[in-house]
Amino acid sequence: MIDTVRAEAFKLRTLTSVLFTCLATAALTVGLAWLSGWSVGRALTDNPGLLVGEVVPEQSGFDAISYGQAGMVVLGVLAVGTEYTGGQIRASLLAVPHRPRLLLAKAAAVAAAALAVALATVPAAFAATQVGLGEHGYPLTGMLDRPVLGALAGAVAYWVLLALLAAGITVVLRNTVVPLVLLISLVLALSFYLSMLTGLADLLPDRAGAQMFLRGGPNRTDLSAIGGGAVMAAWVAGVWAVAVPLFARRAA
Amino acid sequence: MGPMIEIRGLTRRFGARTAVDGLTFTARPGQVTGFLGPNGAGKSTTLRVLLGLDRADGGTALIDGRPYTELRRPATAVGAQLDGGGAHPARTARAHLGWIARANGLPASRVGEVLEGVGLGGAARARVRTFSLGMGRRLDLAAALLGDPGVLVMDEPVNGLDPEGIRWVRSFTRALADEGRTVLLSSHFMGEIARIADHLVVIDGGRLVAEGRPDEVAAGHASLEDAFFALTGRPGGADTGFGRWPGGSGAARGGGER
Repeated sequence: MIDTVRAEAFKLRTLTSVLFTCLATAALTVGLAWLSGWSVGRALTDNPGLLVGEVVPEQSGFDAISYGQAGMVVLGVLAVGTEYTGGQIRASLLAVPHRPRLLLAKAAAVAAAALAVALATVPAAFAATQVGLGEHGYPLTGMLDRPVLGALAGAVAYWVLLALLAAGITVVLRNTVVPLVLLISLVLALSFYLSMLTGLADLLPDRAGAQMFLRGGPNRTDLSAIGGGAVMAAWVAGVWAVAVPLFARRAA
Repeated sequence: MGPMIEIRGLTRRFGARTAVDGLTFTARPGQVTGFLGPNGAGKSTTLRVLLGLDRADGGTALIDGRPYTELRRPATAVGAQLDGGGAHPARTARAHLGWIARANGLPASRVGEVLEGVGLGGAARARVRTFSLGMGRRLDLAAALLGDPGVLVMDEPVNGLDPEGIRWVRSFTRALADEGRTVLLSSHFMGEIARIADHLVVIDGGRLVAEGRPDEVAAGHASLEDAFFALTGRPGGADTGFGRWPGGSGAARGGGER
């Protein structure tokens, strides 16, 4: 198993598109975090009337995470979708004919890559927002305070689960475009609009999972951080429970 | 000494169509076994089932007594070269072989060795998308040889190659068989394969129509090609047979066969 995981990790890091996705996600999220902090900080100083609602700096620190999550969708989709380019899936199955093992190793490699990106990006994005906020920012030493640290850990877990969700859906659909469009529109806008129609939208994986780091704002729902995380994890488990037997059965 | 490939009563259906129909044959060590038949005869399906890429509806396809899917480190037992490569075009040749080596617990030093062995040493860092057809075949063969396997399975290895490439495949497979390995290669080019193979297995409509040494298969016919046309029920040079069963000109580029 460990050989298979190593091979899958090697596959990911030898693809330029995957490397680019990881680096761009980190750079853009941190850059955006600083920019949003800076613009809110400017408004607080010059014209507080422009701002809607109260600014909670330790919440603003997670705003960019919500945009950067699109990168995790791309990572998960690419990790699986590239298997279907150039017939690589056949070479993969020749190298690892035990299909559940191949797929679980793939999931482990995706999770490891997502974890590495999230661990680097989430705290840096939070800090960049506070730096951008300047005098209005939350003190950086406060990142070690329990509530903030818990939310940071929640955001990291959210990114990892999202990448796994995207990878699992791509296994089922054997396609890159459909899961990309579906998931990116869901996480960036659709689940918010659906939540206006029905309370059930709170159980969508992204909306539920976001409770792991949201402490207020329009996307805060009745689920607790633990409860929201559990709902998202259940989605991931459900998708993979479909993906593994399906992948094991079908011809490559 | 080496391991055998044993196909016993293999059957694979796709809906109402029976692609492989109770096929039985054996490929032995030290021999190049030519697996022949027109496009759509069931060759690729047989090889795909043998390699665990597809499942059988009946019968068995075993390598050294075991199904491929039970092999722990398959590259050390079986090398396979399939039509359609399997290398992601954006990866370098070295990276492609690198992950296969890791998946099979092979030392990374093997990658350089096999790339040199197939004459791709200079292209190790080039991306697969820049490769010509012949280079792609060499890369696939390098992947197949990575684990120094006792069995080699090649699907249409000479298809689309120029005469130089065909000659290279011929000498390479000959050398591998002479080392005691079991070599099974499929083709719809009976002329080329007859010059490589020690043993022929001819199928049509998913069924075995002839098996034996080339001279045995050709016995009673003017030539081996005539024997093929007679065995597969396709009159040589006639309207239906010529395009689908290319012996000379009009060779359709194959590969879409499943």
